Amino acid sequence: MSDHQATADDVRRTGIERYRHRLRTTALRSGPVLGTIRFLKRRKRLLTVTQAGLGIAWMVLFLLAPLLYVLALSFWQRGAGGVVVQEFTLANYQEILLQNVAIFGLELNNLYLIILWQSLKIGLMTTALTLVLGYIPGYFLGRTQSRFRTVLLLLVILPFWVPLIIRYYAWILVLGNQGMATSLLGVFGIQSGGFLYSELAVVTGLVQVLLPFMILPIYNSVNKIDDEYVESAKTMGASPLRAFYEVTLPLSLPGVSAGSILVFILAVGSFMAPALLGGPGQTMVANLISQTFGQSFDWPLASAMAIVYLVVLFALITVFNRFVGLEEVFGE
Amino acid sequence: MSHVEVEHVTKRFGDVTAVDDVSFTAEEGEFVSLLGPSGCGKTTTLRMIAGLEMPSEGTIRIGGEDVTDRPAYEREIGMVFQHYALFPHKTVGENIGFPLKMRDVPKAERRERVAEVLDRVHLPDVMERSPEDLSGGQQQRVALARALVFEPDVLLMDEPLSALDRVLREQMRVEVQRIQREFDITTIYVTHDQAEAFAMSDRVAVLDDGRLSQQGSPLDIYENPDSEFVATFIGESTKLQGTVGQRDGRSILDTTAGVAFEIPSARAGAGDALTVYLRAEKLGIAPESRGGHNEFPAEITTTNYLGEKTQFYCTLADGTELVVAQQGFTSLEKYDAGDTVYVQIAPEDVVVAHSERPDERRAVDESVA
Repeated sequence: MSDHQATADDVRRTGIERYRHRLRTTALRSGPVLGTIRFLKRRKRLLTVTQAGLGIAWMVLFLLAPLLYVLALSFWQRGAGGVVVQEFTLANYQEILLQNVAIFGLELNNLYLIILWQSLKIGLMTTALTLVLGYIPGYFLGRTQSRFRTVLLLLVILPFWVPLIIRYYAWILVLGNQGMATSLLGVFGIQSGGFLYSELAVVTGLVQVLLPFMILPIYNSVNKIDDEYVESAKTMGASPLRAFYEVTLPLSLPGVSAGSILVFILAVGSFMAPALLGGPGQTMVANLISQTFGQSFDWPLASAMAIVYLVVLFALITVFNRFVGLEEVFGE
Repeated sequence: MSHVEVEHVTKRFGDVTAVDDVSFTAEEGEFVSLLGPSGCGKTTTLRMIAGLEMPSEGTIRIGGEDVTDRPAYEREIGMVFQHYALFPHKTVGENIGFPLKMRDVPKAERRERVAEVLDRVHLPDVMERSPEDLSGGQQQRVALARALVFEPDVLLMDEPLSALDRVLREQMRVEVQRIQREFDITTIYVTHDQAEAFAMSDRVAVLDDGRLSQQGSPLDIYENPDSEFVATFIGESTKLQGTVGQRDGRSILDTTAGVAFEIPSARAGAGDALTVYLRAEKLGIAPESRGGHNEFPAEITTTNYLGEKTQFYCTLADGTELVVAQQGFTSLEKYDAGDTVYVQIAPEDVVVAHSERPDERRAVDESVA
């Protein structure tokens, strides 16, 4: 038997061996180095595809698909007893956007738009308050050389370990008509019937819960500012206050805008704070959508509400980015 | 009265004394370098002059005025930081205009003065650019322009060339000197680079472990180092100790390393114990003995060809290491590791340590014996 025949026999053996042989020969044909690289490259691409694919699949399955379903729902009709009838209609959008609207007569009776406006207002108030209350600790944490900094940072995050619902219930104890706030004010002779079920209560609760989302980005941004910038401003004649205004503040704006966007989005979409701390006047968009889904069984209408809310929020964020985006932050 | 006076300044951080009783002065228009290894307190000293650190003790005067307790923003200081500290959120023009803005100079005048100073540092047409778009050398010029635009009393520079690569660093060295002369501004310059300090300065103050070791002209410091630290920090040298003897009417130092050579007679009498330093580049090397008192044998351990010079690492009879540096072309093939060569030194090139007083000499005697 010649060598040639032996090789041919080997090739004929099993599938796996054939595969290996083919691999070996293609590798050899392109040289051992190039062949190996080509083989590894093919494998690497496989790895990348798997990794990215998992992420994409996750997003498609749990974000894009439900969102598309909601979008489709919003154009369908509600049948008797809450059944969804898959027939195209614009009635849902008409109901929430055009009914009872008299903007030029200054009379806005549309429930959805009133509640949407109410949500945006509470979101803005919460953002403004957390900004004022969060900048100072954020700045301090970013600047301090204290060896307790890590502990202080931990204190900022610590409330996350207490469930949201417990924190809001705690505010009920503080703000209620027999609560701590009332008795404390009573000491100074100020009578009040508590502060619950009001805009004040909702905003207070939201500020407390969302404050870390403002403090952390500001801390991060201030922490990154090199001491040399502030010092050089001082050698050029800037008092500490002016150095802050001219150097530290503008350089910390990326943190401010990141924190503001985070807090605004979370506040506008909040569900539990208005449910537990607010009255009927503080119903927010998430509560309305949930009621329409759950109590009214009008899924198409609720879907249209959700879509409009998403579009409005998206538009607001786009505008915000346009005007307070990074290029603007670094220009004067 | 000097323009800048630093008197008995001490700075402590907790238990650590970073700067210990340092005094020096800078005359009007003078270029003074603070030279020393990292951690020697030179930057802290500069920061105290700037007002960014407050001295624990001592007085700092600028233009005759006591500024010790004044914060940085009330001193008229132009400072160039190690990494320039150009504001990334402002244009080059706004950066340079910043000190003028702080002094409430109207906007139109500000623009004019910024353009003028940019011209003087040879960097026109960058006003509207972002400092981050400029090269390292250009950023350096902008930092200088920003420190000079408001005509401060004194210019402080903290290792401003250390972030640049070698070629650019040497170009900028010349440029900084030109600008300093042109603005005729008193300058205090911190560096750990001896060549930089020597090339640029009228006067150099050498700092070691928070203390001032020596100050003087570069020539003075090189030729007459006051202390072992200065002698060894500035350039490469070999330290030898020995006792002075007389032969043929000359002063000969018999070293503990087992070699003897002539030293200048004016510097010591017979029987004195002395410490001397042999600078690598002042030593000659020859394969054969030429006779006389100016040479001693050594064995080559390694040769390093560095282009502009060649280093010969040698050992003496007792194993002491000695470095010889030869400038320019050296016929390397004549020297191999293991060869015995003859090292030559002219008596006037032997650096004799100053510090030994009679009582200290005795101590050295005992340690030698």
